[in-house]
Amino acid sequence: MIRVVSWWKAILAGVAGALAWEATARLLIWAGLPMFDIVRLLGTLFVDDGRSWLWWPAGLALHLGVGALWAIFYAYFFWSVLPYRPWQQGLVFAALPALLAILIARPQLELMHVPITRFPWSGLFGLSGGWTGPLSIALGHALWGAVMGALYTRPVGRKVGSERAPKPDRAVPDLIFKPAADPPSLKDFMFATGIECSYPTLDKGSWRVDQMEICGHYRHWRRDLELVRELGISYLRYGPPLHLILLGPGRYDWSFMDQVAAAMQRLGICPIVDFCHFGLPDWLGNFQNPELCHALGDYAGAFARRYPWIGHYTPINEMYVCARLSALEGLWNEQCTDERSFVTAARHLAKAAVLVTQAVRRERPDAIFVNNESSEFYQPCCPDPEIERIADFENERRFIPLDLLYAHPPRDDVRDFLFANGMPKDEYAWFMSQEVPERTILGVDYYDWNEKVINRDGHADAMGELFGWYVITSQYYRRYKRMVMHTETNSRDPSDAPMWLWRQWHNVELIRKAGVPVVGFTWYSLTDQIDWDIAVSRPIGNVTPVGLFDLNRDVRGVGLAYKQLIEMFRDSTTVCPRWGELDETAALPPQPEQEKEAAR
Amino acid sequence: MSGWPFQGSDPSPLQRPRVAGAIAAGIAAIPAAALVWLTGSARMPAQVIGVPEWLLVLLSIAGLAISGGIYGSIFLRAANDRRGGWLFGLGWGFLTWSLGPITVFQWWIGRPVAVGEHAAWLLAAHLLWGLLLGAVFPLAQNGVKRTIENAPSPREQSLQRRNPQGKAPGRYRRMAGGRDA
Repeated sequence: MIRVVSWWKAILAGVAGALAWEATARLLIWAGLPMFDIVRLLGTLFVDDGRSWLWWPAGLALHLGVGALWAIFYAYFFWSVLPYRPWQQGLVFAALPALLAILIARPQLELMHVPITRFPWSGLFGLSGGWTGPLSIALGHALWGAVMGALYTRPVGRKVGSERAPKPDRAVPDLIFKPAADPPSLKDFMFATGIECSYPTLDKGSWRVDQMEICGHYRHWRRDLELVRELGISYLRYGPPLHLILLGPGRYDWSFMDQVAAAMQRLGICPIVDFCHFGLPDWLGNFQNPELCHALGDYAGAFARRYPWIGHYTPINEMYVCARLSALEGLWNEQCTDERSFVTAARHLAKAAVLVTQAVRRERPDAIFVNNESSEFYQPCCPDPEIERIADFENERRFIPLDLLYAHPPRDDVRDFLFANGMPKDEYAWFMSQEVPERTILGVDYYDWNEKVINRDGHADAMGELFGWYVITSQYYRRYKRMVMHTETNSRDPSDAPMWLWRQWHNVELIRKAGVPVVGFTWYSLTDQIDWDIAVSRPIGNVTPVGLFDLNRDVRGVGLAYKQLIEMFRDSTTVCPRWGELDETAALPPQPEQEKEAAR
Repeated sequence: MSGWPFQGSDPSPLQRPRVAGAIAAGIAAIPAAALVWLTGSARMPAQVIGVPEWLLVLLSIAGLAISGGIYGSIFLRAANDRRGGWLFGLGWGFLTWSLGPITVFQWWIGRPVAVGEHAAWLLAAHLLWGLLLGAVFPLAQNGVKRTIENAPSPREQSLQRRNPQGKAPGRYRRMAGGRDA
């Protein structure tokens, strides 16, 4: 698939542009100006020139149809390619149909008339009949392009409040409401993928981009689950659409999830259910709302009660990224850009994760929790003390939500930063007094933009893979001492993706040899995603080609490579340690402080 | 520029978009050629170019198959789009008509290749061809994929070349014979 296109929007925009052209041209023709009459040229192909009440609607219908077709082309191939405003993009694009109309279509349409003398022929390439015709055609196209471009915007996503859950189409077996025969365990290494399921809101909470919808999962979810099994994958990171299920306090619509759960059970897929993935239902607003913590806790409890056979959960996906992009960088949800909002979002997310964990454990004491976080690392560009200070702070900030979740005291200056930005001391004490469940896995996500350099201007820029997953994960492991899972990775360059997959896998193998208990590996996601090249900051509809399958559900090279990897390593990759038995002597790379100490 | 439309369209090892495009275009050319033949719209261009009508139709089918191959090599895996494929094909049909019978031939012979309703049928045949090309492409691609999946691996092919009868090597045959005995 080239791009996700809103067909009805493109058709409406194209028709509106063609109507604007015709209205303007008709008025000018009636005013006696020498405008070229495209509708008459088209209409008289079928109807006698004398009967204007017949050729006008026929010609207009054809004109509108062609306008709509060109608009769909624009939507597929041209929209968002140039960094201009929408009407300007449409105007630039209109040059293409205008040229074809002047040089090819007009003279050929003139030749198609019988007798051909009805319209004076403008020559082989339409330029022999004077400049009035070409000029008015160009003007008509310019008008069409500007109107069409102005109207074709936001092709993906929906106005908040208008989202609809897919309709259930089959009865579900009672089995999905019964506990599994065996408790969840770590007996197998977890080769996993995920269905991309982010659902943040944009434009101050008025527009929702639901990746499951725009990637076609709601239409193809059965096929998607089959594709998971076709690659030999058993574990699937899956985020049920929170905004479609949690309709209000204590009100749930389980219809879609029931269907999916039944299909997963039938196919033998073990889901790792993710309760919150970068968005909230519109009635909860955004991550500045303290009510979300208990609402998510209640939802998680209800979920675990309804599907007692599910044993793997991710309470909240990538809390740090969610807080940062929503409340510090201003891209999603509340779209705030200040430290206080960031701390508030981080507190709420971490508290929600604690409450979700507790709620699930009440229903399912043997549940396994995969707390995944985006592994980040900041490197100062130069020995400037201010730049070094920023990098050092960012390297501590990345741990804030996990520190709160895992009751790990942050560094003193970070704790003071939390207090200074609105964290009540009793809440901090509540976090630090929590008992972290033993059956908890630290999920470490890694992409080639996770390592950043702090430039001279104090801003962070991605610098590609510098130290790699092994080194960054060592920092997280050393801090939290939990079993580890590589919970997300992919490459935006499909030709490099198989190589990237193997690099990540070798990182996993190496760190396992060093003594770190890695229990799973994930290529994220099953299919390509939409607009992740711009962090879903605008609803454009561009495909980010990172999937094991493209959006036509055709396998990519990395899908075949992952299948081969799983076949090769499924039996030989065992999970050695048991809960609570971690290798305290893991041979990890030195910490930055240790390096500094050694240098001194 | 952001969001270049063909980003990520590289075919997987199981896809052959050029072959699929040529096959789909060849299939789509048959009804298009029939339309031109039945409406007599090939007569005038054939006279203008100076070749028999049947030869022009055959040459057109071959030309359209090549055009389909080019279509596959430009759109690559994106041509498999079940939703938009027919539209890409329709556009390609219009482009083929614009560049082939119109631009190149008019330039070459210095006059229109067809007039009146025959000119209209010629355009209609190209649009029909394009529409079918886009619609048939995913099916052709699936056929090609199945062929590749079912084909013997290079190792199997090599073994087949070296041992066409598929007999076990001599010492294994002796062992097998001994066991039988």
